[in-house]
Amino acid sequence: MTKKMHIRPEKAAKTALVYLLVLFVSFIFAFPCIWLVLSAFNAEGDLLTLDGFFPQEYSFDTFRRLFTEVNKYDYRRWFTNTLFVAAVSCVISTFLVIAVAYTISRYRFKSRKAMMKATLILGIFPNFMNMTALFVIMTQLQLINNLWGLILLYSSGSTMGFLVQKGFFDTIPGSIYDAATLDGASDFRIFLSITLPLSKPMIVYTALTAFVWPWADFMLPSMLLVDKSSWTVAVGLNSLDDSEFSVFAAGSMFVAIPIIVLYIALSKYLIQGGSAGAVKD
Amino acid sequence: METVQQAPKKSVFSDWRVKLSCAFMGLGQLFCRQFTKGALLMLLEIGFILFLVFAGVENIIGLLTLGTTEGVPIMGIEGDNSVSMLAWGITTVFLILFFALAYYANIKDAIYTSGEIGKGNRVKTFFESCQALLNKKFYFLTLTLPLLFVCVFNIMPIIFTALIAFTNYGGEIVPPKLISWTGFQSFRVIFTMSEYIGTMGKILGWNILWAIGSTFLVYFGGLGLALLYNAKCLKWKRFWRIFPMFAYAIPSFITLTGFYFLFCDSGPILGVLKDWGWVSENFTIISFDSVWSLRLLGFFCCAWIGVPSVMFLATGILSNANKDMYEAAKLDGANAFKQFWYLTLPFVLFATTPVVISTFINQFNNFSIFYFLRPETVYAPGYFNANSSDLLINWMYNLTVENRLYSLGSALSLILFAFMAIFSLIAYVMSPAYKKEDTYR
Amino acid sequence: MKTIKRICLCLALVMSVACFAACGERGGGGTFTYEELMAKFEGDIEQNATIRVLDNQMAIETGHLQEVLDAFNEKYKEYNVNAVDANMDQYVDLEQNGPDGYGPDVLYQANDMLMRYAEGGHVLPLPMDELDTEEIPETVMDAYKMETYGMDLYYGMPVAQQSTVLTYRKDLLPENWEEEWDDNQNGVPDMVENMNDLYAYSAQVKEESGGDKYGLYMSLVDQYFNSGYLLSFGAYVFGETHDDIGLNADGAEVGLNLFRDLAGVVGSTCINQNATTQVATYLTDSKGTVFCTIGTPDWLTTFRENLSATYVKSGMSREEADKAAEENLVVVDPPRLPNDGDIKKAITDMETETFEPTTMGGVNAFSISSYTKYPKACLAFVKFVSEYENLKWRSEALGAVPARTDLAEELGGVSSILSGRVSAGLVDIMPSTRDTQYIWDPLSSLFNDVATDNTTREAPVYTTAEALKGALDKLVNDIRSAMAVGDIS
Repeated sequence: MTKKMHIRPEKAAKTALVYLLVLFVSFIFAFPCIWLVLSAFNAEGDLLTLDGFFPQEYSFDTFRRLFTEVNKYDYRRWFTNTLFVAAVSCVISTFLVIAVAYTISRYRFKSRKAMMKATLILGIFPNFMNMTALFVIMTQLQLINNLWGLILLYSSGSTMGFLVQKGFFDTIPGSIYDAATLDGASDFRIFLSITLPLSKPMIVYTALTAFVWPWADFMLPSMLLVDKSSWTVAVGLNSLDDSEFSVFAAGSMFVAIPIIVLYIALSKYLIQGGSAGAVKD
Repeated sequence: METVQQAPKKSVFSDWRVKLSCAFMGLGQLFCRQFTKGALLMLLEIGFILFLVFAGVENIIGLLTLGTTEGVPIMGIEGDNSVSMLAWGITTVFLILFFALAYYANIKDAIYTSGEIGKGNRVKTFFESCQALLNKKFYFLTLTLPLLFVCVFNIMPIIFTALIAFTNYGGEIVPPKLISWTGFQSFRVIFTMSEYIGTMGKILGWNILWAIGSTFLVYFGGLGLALLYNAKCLKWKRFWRIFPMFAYAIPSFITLTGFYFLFCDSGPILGVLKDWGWVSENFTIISFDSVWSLRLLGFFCCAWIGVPSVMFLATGILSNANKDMYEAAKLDGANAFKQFWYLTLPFVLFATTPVVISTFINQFNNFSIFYFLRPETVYAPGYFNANSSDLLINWMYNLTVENRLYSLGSALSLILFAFMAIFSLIAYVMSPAYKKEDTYR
Repeated sequence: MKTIKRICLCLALVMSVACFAACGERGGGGTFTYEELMAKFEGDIEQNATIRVLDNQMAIETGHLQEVLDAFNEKYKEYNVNAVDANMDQYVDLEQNGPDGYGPDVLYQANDMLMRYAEGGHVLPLPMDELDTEEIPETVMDAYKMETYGMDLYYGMPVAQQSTVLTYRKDLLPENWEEEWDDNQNGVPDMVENMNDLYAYSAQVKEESGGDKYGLYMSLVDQYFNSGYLLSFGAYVFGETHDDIGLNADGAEVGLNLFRDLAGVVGSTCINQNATTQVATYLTDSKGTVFCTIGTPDWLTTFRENLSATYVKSGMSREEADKAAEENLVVVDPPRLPNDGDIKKAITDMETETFEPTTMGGVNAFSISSYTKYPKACLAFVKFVSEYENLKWRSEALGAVPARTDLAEELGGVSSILSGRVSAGLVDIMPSTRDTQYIWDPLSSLFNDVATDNTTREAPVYTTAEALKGALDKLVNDIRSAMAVGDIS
């Protein structure tokens, strides 16, 4: 009994320390976000008009300008483009990644090991290390200024990341498949009726990451989209002048908030999916 | 295949149908009464020959010469475009390789079928072959499209980049001017011109430091946070985890631009610090010749962006950890630190080795951090087309996109690639997951 | 291992064949006569042509470009011409996008960019006899001249000229400026007339406000604005050949020292490209943070709008505010510099102790891309925008200083000031050559370095003439190696 009495204050101190640390970490993560949101409501556009950290006067003016001054920023166009690219590449990439990962995990064929090794090596060479080459190839394919060009690049790029999903499929015991095969189900049926339902968290995870990359990417679109009408939000916002900081902040909100909501809503899958794939090689 | 190997006495090529297939794709199959398959294969070969005649040969010659007539755009005279000739030349080589593979498969198929006939088995109809494809070679179906994508958008650009390094493309020599092969000239320039070799040394040193430092920071920061949020005494865990979720979710171009504005000369952080008198009037974080202040800011931003993803990963892994082990350890009287050191850390380290390697690679090539944190292209003294905070990849960007020195940029990316390959190979071989792979299986 | 060896062997084989093949014959080029070159412009405008016009951001934002396009399309209605906004970034690279057909057809840019394209053959030589260039000074026209096939051809139709001027807020002048700050009694405040008084006044403002306000505020890293200090003291960009880089010519270190002193009083917040945009806020806010700035005249329109908005906020009516803003923002010549380069001393006799500075200038023009499908329609557009009335329209809408002297005189104000400086030979127009691109980054680095030296650096290094001379020598070396690398690659 006496021993337990001894531990109590120590435990309380530990709890206090944990809470203190958590509060500190939360502040570090939350403060820049809050600051950015408040700057979006700055009545004056410029960073210089802040009083200390926060605006002197709040208004919705930047949002009005963002959506009405089409000569300066065609935000609605940018947003539609981004949404289109992200949604379509999300669907295509998810499909491809799941198919490839499942195949590599489930089947044993001659070039399997070689393909996995090749993927690892190709992964070292990030897409935009060959920006010049990509630009040339896209011009030859007539895909400059074309959102489909971006979609193709994102789809093929995310297919390269199939190892995470493969790790997940590895965890599904082979006995399930064997039983189904004995029942005479074709491979395609097995995939549809057994694998897919089992891998819901993985699919959500895959779709989410496949959506976020094109949604937030800046390099590829800035290189491939010359015409302003095909710009995505990232390119458009980055083309803004420094004096347009509030507009930048306001424009970013519409990009960031959907993703934050998605992530929070799907955080369970994210944690499951990410770790499931990482545990195995 | 297997049946063929079991009967090695007679050469597999002795069958006349196999010989026919060797001579022309699909002929052998035709004579095995596989008419649809044979016809399709013959069509493929005819198509290939036509392609070679009408474009292929020309493309290969173009790849070798990179063009012979220079265009005069002001007269509207279109000459050869060396760059597109290079691209089409590579494509043609790809197609030839693909055709060779198909030819090989065709011969193998003929051997198999003729073997079956020899054994008196019935040959498969086209429909049956298709069904077999759908069933036994399911992988063939699912992998074709992704492989095609990867070939066009990943492998081809790499080969293109590699070949560019051996040309004089860039600077003044861009289409309509003709490009030519110059061998190792770009590498010679990089390794002999004092501007380059000096800059490369400095940047490489910083880049390695950055990659190791930021990987360490992100990885252990994430692990630490995961442990913190896993603490038993913490209530509303789901709520607290929302904050790192912000950092995880916000696109990094927004985060980094935001941080730039927070920390820049006219930004609020410096303003407030100066108002409080904590720093002198002349204090700057992001300026022309700031070295360590900007580098440290880079580490901070990198941690802000990268820690949450490792944290979520580690949270997931920790929840998979074997609870019994901890109970046993507790009974043995191990304190929290010992539990962490001997149980948690080895387990998590083992489980996440691939993550460490991929984090390292990503950090080594982390383009966006310093691209957004130093938005102005000013080059520091002692650096050629670079600044003190630039990583190799930023330097490459400066060379190729800002200054259009394509061949030098490509040569640099080959060097960078070699470095990365060696580094990650060593890391992979030394990793616990690799060493223990056999024991755990 | 075997496969690797085989691949290596193949690669080596391909490489050697390639090297061999590269030695083969290469043709193309040839020479053309003037008539042959201009043949594409002869005859009627193409029917149903669509031409993409690239103009600067300001023309797009103010809607001026759209009005011009509409007017042009209306005028050439019978040909069903459709001129449209190219809708690209204003610095889009024709060299990269042009050959593939993604570039603009008509583009408006400065002479260093356009002539870089001209050297690469990306823009067309224009039939000058069809364009009205009589009133444009020869120095301005020369910016677009390049010898091609033994002829002097012009590759752009000059429309506007740029150089630096000083803009100040009249209402922020000290009450007693006529007694205290007008030694020569010419009615022009001394602090906007010569650099020594501007330096003294800036120091005074800074001290009185505790560092919150500025006399002069301008980007200290802007290569274009600041290279004038070097040019005024004898430096030049290129001599007879491009091997002769004169930015470190004797005397330039005096100019650099002057710049260094100036940086000390302007302050570290200006060691930033953003200062150029920031000043639009500072110069026009209600606190009067900034008294004056040195920059290009096209900012004047923005300054006026911002100042007028500030006045409206403080309770003026729209018209009153517009009028007051126009009155209170005054543009003058860039301040005179002391003969010996010492801006810290007091000036007693301005006429003898100071001189008119030389500034870097540029000429913006419309050019036609070589890759256009409709050269005749493009030429019609260039003719259209270079008509007297339309040039006037452009200058009034955008605040650009016209290249034509007669128009500049008619417009008066900043236009006649700048035009006068060009005629007087006080504006060094940046060299119209590809190699000009190599001077900007090293110059910016130099100004960054020297400005930092007198503001935030713990241990200043550029305290002697030798050290400054060394910095200039290094600048020239950097430019040389950048040029050398550009040639190799």
